[in-house]
Amino acid sequence: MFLLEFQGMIEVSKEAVTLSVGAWIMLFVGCIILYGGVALCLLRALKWKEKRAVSSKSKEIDEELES
Amino acid sequence: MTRDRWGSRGAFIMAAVGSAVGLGNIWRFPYVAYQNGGGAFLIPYFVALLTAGIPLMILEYGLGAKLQGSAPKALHKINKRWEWIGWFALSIGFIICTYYSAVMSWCWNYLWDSFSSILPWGKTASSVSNHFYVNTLNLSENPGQITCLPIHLLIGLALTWILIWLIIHKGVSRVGKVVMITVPLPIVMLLILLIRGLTLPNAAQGLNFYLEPTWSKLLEPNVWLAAYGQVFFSLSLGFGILIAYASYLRKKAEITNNAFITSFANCGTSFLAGFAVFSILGFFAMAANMPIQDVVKGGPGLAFEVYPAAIANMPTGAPVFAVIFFIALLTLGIDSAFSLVEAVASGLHDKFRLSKGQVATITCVVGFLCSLWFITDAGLLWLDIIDHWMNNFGLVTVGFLECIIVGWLWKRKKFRESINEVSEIKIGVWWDVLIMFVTPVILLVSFILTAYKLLKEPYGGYSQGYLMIGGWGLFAALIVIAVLISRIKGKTHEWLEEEDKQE
Repeated sequence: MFLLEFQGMIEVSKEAVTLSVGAWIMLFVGCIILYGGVALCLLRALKWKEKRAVSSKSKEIDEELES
Repeated sequence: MTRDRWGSRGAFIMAAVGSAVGLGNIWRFPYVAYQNGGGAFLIPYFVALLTAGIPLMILEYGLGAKLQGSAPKALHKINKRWEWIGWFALSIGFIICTYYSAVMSWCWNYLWDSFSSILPWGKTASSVSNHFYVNTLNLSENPGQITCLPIHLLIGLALTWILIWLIIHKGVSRVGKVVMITVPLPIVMLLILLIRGLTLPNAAQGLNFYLEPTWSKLLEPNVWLAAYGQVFFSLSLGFGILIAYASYLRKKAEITNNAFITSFANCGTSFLAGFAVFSILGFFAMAANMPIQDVVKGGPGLAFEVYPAAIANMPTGAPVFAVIFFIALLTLGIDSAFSLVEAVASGLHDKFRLSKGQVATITCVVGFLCSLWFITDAGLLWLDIIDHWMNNFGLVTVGFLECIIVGWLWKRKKFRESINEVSEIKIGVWWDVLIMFVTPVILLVSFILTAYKLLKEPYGGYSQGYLMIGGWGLFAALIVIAVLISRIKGKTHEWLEEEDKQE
């Protein structure tokens, strides 16, 4: 029963793919910028190692900031 | 007293994404995109994201991480005169949470209703509206007509606040664990709905309405303002949430890439939600024999009328997809709701040095009592008025003041250097320009235009009296409350002295 229903869903979806060219373009632009952006940033984050010790310069800046 | 810390960078990012991704990603973004040029709206949306959303998020993360405090404490450290702005931000977040929890109580009720073989709201637009406005909300005719407090909504509301309390009362370590479930789960649910939507007849027509670009719209200033508004409201900026969350990071923690990840993940979820919404709306338009323009709605109308009606019209498995949809709404809502409460609790904890458990209990009890207002029969009407003011005036004011303080009145360059010292993506002078000019000007223009529109005609057709109470009256009251809290001496000096000693 479920398989038949699933088959029906696939048949319907074959008929339904009639996106306009403009819609396809915006779909790709959106996907590339948003999901590509997340993927790129996540890759950078994976490579990143948090600085183990705070550098003296960094400490200096932070102190100045709070003074 | 040592500051609570996130278990990992991932926990922080997930919590920030969870806070940003909320009900608005489903019921606001797709509708705003559809109204403002469809696919063409993506262009102003990306511009707004890069020129206002991400810079302001870097600013808030930077304030929290570098000054190690909730919004009031961080702003107090800059200058004690600005502490009230932090309290103003938190009070707006608190008010928003009180009605957000009411919306979640509607979700609980719809989820409960979904566990039946025949969905009780029916298949037609009128039966679904009747179920929402009469059976669920028992909606009155005007905001002054308050006669009852429906018990089914009270149960949903209590459930929401108990969940919020359970999640936040142990501090951010528990938040970090909860978001590992509540952030990916709604995305999985949305993907299931999207796949089902794409396999329904006429889904492509719905998607065409969502994505087909109307380029001429790009020449309309309102479309650009809508894009900035959408980015600003959907990233959890101006509530003090991001400042509070970042304050649980160490000073040397990464900032800018975290802001990019949070922003892209939030906007990516909105974009995905648009497909899940419009594919099913395309099908519903065909099933109801109506033009798609007539079935598209935004806000609660989408989540509690159109979408449930579309699901009820599905050929098979309608209750299953209804359950999936309302679980998605609840999981989307819960992490935004507890982040709002956490921001307030964090502010109170910093100011009065009460334990996390104590402030969580106080905030949740007061929050629950205040949110009773929004489940009365006039609740939706008050929600509509207050939401309009909190978003369009409250958040915009906080964002504007944050830009002015950091951009013009504080050590902007040192702040930028300090962020760059620990960040993967270095920010340059462009960030200064955006924070000093672009973002505050856009926020100011948005404030003025919305206020001008209100002068021309009363919002939503409500009488001026109600608008004065729920709109400008509440706005002014929150400023007064914020100033009064900032004047209370509290334990501010104790934690500042303690931090000095630690250094």
